[in-house]
Amino acid sequence: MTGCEAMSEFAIQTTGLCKRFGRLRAVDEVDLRVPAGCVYGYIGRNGAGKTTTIQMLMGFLQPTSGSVSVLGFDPMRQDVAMKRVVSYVPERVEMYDWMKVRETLWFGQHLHPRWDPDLAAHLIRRFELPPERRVGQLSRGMQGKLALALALSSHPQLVLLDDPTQGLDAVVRREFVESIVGILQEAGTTVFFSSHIIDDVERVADWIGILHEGKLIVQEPLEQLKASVKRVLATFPDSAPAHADGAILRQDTDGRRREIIYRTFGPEQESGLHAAGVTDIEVSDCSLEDIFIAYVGPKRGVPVEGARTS
Amino acid sequence: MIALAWKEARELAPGALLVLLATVIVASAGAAVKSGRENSFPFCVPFVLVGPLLVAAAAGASVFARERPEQLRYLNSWPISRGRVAAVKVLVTAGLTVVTTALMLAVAQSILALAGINLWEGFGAAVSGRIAFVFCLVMLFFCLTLSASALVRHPAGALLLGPVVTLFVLYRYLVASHAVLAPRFGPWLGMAWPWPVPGKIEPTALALAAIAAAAGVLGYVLAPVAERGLRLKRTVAAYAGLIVAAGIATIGYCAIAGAGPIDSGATAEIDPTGRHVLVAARHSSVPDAITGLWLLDPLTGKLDRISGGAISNARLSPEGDRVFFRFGILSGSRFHILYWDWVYDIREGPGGRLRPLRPQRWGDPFAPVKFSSPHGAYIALGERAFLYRDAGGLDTLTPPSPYSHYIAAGWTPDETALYWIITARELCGSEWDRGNAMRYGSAIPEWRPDADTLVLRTAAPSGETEAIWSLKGGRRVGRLSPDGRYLSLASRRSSNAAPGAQAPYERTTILDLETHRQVEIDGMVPDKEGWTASGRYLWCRTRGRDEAGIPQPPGWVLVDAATGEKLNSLRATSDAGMRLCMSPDRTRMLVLARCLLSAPERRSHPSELSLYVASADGGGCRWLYRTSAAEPTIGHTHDGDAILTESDRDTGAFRVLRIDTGTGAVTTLLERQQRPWVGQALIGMMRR
Repeated sequence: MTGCEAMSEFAIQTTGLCKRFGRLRAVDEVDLRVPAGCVYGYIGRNGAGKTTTIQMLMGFLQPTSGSVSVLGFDPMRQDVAMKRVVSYVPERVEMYDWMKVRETLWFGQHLHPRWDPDLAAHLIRRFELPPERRVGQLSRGMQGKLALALALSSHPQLVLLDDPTQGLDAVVRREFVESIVGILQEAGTTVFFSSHIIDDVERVADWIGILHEGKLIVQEPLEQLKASVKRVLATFPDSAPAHADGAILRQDTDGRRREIIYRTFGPEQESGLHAAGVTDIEVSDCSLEDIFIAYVGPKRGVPVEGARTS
Repeated sequence: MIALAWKEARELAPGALLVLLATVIVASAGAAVKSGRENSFPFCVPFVLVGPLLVAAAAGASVFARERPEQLRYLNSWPISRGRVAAVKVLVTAGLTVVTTALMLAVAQSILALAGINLWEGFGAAVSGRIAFVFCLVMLFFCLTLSASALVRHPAGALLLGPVVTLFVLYRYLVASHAVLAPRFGPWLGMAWPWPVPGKIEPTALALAAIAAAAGVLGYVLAPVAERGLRLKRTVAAYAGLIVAAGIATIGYCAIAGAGPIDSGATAEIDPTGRHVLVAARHSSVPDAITGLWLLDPLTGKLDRISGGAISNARLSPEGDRVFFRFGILSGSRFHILYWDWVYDIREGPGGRLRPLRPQRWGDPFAPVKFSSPHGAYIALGERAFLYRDAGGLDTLTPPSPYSHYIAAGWTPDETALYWIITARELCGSEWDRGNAMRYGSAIPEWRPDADTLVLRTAAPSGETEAIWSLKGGRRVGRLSPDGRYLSLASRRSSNAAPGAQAPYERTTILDLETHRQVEIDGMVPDKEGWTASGRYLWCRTRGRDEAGIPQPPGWVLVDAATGEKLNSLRATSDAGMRLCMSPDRTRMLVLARCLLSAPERRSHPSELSLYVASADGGGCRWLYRTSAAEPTIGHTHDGDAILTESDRDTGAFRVLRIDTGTGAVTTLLERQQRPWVGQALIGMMRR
């Protein structure tokens, strides 16, 4: 049990959240439950609807249907009050290029009532950002750090990160993510971290939500997810048909040897395999990336059945 | 708030500097091109008008659209309301627009001054010299493009399409709607395109600007920032909405505008045949402008609306069957407008009676309308004596006169010729005019190169024009006798006349067009309606003082056109307000005077005019009615009664009376309180 699971309050709660663009259902009946104080990894393939979801959470987009509550605020009607306690770092940080880092902080200080100039100065030093350099002259990674500093300097209760590591090289990305983890762990802030880079999410997230083609197909604590999803390698008899089981997410065949990803693998599944004449059964854990691919990757053997949320 | 304002100002500053730089370049180039010429008007006008408007349009479009959607998302991720963001953006940009415009004009004037050009001269000529007018237009352009860009919020759409489409909409509204559609279709559609009077357009422009700005800000505030799918569809929808709204506003405004109020008074013209009275509501502040036109039946008092709007030069035709008027628009203090000439045919009954006479023209709508021929076959009009066949619509039967100005003297009874005169000022007006005068005049046997007046004759329908007479001394107010034999002319008072002499004329000249004899009568001028039915006798007006300034009884003298012999006279106590009006058959006449000494029953009053009736030769003069109006109009009904209109510009009082010439009984045909135009105060521009 993680610390998040003990909290009863949700920082973000959506019910039947939908957004259509013409005939395209970008977000389809999403019921998010983000516990307060946790890091929620919101992952999905490109175009799955992650950014659309976050823009609705920020009040930038009007939902087609459904309800949204962010820290108890309605983003469409109470956006100013909500933004006092919610910070947002978009996937493409579009600050004003002509401003210096120092001016950008001054600008933020005058726009945010909860701004902490000492914290902002601390973060700038920590991220080693040059105060007199213009934003347009900063590297992509430094711009991301500046955006993070702006987002954190107002002591937010919730930070929405919309794929902030996109386009960064591996070193910068690692540094960026570790910064988030370090600072937010200190502050106990809720983080809604959207990304399609699974490693980043796995490194920091407590909870995982997997969005696929607009639908939320997984929503549960990361440890619970990893504990339940298993990879099984087994030898099947000659001319055996594809193994059928409702818990199978993915099945690859190499001669008689097969690799199966189970949503849950327990004694029931194991006895079923023995009954089918299967031998040499090896069970191992999956990484988040394996789980993600099993859920949203090209299906082999068995289609995914239904959403898995807790 | 301070941070937002600082950001907006910093972002706009480079743009403003670029505009100023461009201004300096344009101004320098313009000054260089124009420095050696006399007239800088063609450069100054577009610069003064278009420059600031383009700056305003660009600034307005940039308010919301200069930030990319991602930047707007970033800005709106801060805990500050969109309304506050929008307000700061609008205020800062508007302020900088005004400052930039002022700087731009100042820099331009500074550079132009080096070349000896005064920008403000062109400015004054173009927009009445009103800085407020330009300011309001600048704000209007700013707010309209702001509104468009707020609705679209796409840089390409707002920066490129915005100003273009907005300019197009404004062009249609301010120019095309008023200057082409209004003069062309206004009377037909029953709409009253009002006079955009300088001084009253400013509040209208500011009101429109405020509405546009409010719409833009509201659109920005209400629509989520990152909404997708607003590129093409919303762009088209936004501009379509603006165009439709502008169109509806224009049509609605013109539809409800109706005819102008009569508060500033009305004038009336009585048909020479006595069957109709043309009533025109005067504009409150534009001299000679008419805001509503009606036709009154003098027998029944029935009132028919002809048109409302920007009318000028309304006039009944000699045979009383048609009303001629101009419908157009003002353009600044010079009254240069685009206008159409219209004819309202009374004979054709309701519907289809209005028709335009010719394509629209630029010019002075208040230039006098010339004469319709006696039976309505032709109308000579315009500043250059175009001659049009009324029945044939737009056909020009004669080429334009070579002269810039002329004074029509009248048509022959059989409508075969129009007589007109050119006076000294026009003869000497330009080399071109003088050359043509020489060309015409040299064909006359008695032509003298030093002649001041030429009498010309234009034949219809051929349009051939020839000079038939030349005279020494300036002549004006030519009047052809009813039979077309005599032409009476009034000559100017000589420039070395004694001080204190009041009358503008000193001599009547009567030309016998058959025998080419010329009769001169000193000390009087022919009355406007002085010819009797036979065309042999002419009533001439005498002045209250002679040439030496010695008082004498003013009045009329009946003279024999063939000999100049004085046959009869009517004397009054004062020459103020004197008028004479012949009956349709020219056998009787109405006389308006303070106190007519010839009438047995004078009913005199020191400050009021009295109406008298007499036979055409002045016999049987009787008193009919006394009026307190300052400038009453008099005329006859078709059945011989008298019509008198009373108007008071100060109080707006106006009424039309019918007076029985036999019994003196007075019937009120029209009073302002009873008629449909009363109290129709107009919104916007027309409200007093």
